[in-house]
Amino acid sequence: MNATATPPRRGNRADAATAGRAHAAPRADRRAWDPAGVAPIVAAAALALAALPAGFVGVAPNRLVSGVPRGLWEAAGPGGCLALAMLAAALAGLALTGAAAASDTTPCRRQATLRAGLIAALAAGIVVLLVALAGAAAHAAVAADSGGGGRTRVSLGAAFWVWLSLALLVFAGALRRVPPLPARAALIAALAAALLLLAGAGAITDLSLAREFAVNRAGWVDAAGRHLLLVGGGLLVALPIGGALGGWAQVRPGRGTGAFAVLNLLQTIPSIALFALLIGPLTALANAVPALRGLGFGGIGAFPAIIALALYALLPVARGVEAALRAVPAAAVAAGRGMGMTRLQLLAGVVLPLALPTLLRMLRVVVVQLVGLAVLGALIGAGGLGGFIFRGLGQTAADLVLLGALSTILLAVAAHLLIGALIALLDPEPAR
Amino acid sequence: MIELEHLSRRFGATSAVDDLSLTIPRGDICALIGPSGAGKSTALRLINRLIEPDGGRVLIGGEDAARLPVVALRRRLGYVIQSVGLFPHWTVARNIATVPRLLGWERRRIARRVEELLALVGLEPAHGGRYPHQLSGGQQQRVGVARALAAEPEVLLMDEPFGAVDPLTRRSLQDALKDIQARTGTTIVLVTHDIDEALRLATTLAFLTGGRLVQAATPHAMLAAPASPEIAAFLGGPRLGLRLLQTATAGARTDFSRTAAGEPLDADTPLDEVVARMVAAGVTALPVRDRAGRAGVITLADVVAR
Ligand SMILES: Nc1ncnc2c1ncn2[C@@H]1O[C@H](COP(=O)(O)OP(=O)(O)OP(=O)(O)O)[C@@H](O)[C@H]1O
Ligand SMILES: [Mg+2]
Repeated sequence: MNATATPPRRGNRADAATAGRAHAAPRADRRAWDPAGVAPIVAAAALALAALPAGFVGVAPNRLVSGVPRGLWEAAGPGGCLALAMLAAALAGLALTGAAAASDTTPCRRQATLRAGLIAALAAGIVVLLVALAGAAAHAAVAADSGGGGRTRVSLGAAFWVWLSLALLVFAGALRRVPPLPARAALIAALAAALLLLAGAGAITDLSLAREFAVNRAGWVDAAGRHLLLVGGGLLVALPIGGALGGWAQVRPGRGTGAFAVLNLLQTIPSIALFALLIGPLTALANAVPALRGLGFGGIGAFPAIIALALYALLPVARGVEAALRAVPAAAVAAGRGMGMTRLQLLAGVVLPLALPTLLRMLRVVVVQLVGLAVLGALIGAGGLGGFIFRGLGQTAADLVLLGALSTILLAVAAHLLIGALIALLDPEPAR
Repeated sequence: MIELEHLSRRFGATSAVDDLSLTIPRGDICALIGPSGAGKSTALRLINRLIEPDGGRVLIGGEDAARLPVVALRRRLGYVIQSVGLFPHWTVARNIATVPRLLGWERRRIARRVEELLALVGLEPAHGGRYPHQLSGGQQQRVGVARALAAEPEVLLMDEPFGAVDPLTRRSLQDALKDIQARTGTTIVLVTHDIDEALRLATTLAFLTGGRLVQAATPHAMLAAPASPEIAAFLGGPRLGLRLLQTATAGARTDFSRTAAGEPLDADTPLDEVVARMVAAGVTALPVRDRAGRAGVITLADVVAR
């Protein structure tokens, strides 16, 4: 296989898709796509085509009944279809030539980077176009149904979601092959700006998702803030405790196993159960110490949610801190000590800077995990974006559920990108 | 002056250093030699208190090291760690400046010192801006030595400082170290597996095995009368005699009552080099001239006489 000729690189998304051959050949080059990379492209194209008969949007007379699917042709018209088809064809062509070009490996690094940038831009274009087409279709449907008294609902259909996911996957995958950080940041910013611009221009106001957002706008800001508060609270508790545990496990290898066993066990408790299980003991605690109640402590509300989130974060934090400390070269620490650095100087000048990249990577994982888990806080009265999801479930209002879920995902992605940017900025290695 | 008095240190069941007593006078270069695991590195780390002894004590300039504030003590002792241990996130210049910065030197003085040290260990000024991973192993080691020398410590503890350096550079580094030592009177404790390096640099050789000191003597004395068969084997076995030639110079064996024709040798030439020249020229006698300008002759018989 050609991939054997290319140097192994870490973290290739394409590998996950073709995990089967990971044993047979070293991982594919980060910049160039090997011919075996054609398989995922073909699979993606097939999936995209298969979704064609599915509904692009669904139109319902009101919020409570499910909509009638409308295909792409019907919803977007020939112009929209043509634009989308052209972008998709260009993307597929570029990806395929990229896969073929991998046989002459390294000399065309710049070219591969350029191609990846183009692929990312095309994928971003598809995302924006999909949203714009859906918005336009919604606008048309609402306008056509003037007798409906504005109750007409236009939801996003299965085909939309399939294509959006594919486009975003391609976008994220291509981004990894664009090494210069500013270029990467610019691509992400451009996509975000284009979507915001669409929304700001009122191009998607008639989509039911946008309607739900408009109705809940004030509540949404509160919920998002509350969500962040829960995550921040969980971190505030978990970081010092988990950090101390991880540090202890690193200094005394072997001793930490007991503590880690308990934390491992904690991880296995289903999250919903943990949130519910805490209600009892924490209510009892608040009853026993009424002073705590005045501070907002109790069996329900933000307090138990923060505790539950902290408990979940404890294991990854402790493990991450342990791994980060282990990654600090022992010889550097010994040399620093031998030259007369104080404990503090050693910690601040040597240990922390060398552990920081690993620590931030741990933090990124934990934050993303907690943003997702915090949704459950709504179940025990802690509020947060989960509120929309559970309210939507109760009312069988799929768009409300979607609003909550999408907001959570957006929050997680934003956190991921932000911490990722920090990691990249702190990288002590000069650019290669 | 460094005095080790009945120093002992165990790690579990192994006795890394066992009742070690050794006096290293001020300005001496003491080379600790011995097989792997003999306790040489442990002895160094007992001196700068990276580990504390189970028994015995270390006196530095007559003061009990255990009574001195540990951080201040270590800043007085330059330390070259066996595994180099450069700080990977700092540039070479910043690495070298470690102790001067700890001591709060003024910025310009540090910059000047760094430049001086880079030249001293044979690195280019441009290397100062690089990161350790951008240097070769031997270059990294030289940075480690420069870092230890930076604040002109009164004692230098060096654990295999030149192990990864090529022979030519190693020689020039050894010369540089000798120069510095002669200029500043630094006391040096050097761990090395390179017998020739030990012979070239050391005023005292200390042979350790299994944590115990077996013999401490001048290079010449140890070569002339190794205290155990192990030492004899360690110093070269059947070739020990050739090493012995390194410890004496031509002047001591020259007959100044005679003269011979030809380009005269320097009286400071070590005897092994005298033999090498005889072999190269196919002769058994060579002319010698000493610093005072006296001329003489050295013969092969004079060289091998004890
Ligand atoms: N931190 C430690 N924990 C346990 N044992 C140790 C430790 N440091 C040293 N030892 C043991 O003490 C003995 C002496 O080790 P030391 O590092 O002083 O040897 P050395 O003479 O420097 O050897 P080398 O020439 O290989 O560097 C060895 O048996 C070693 O295994
Ligand atoms: Mg050693």
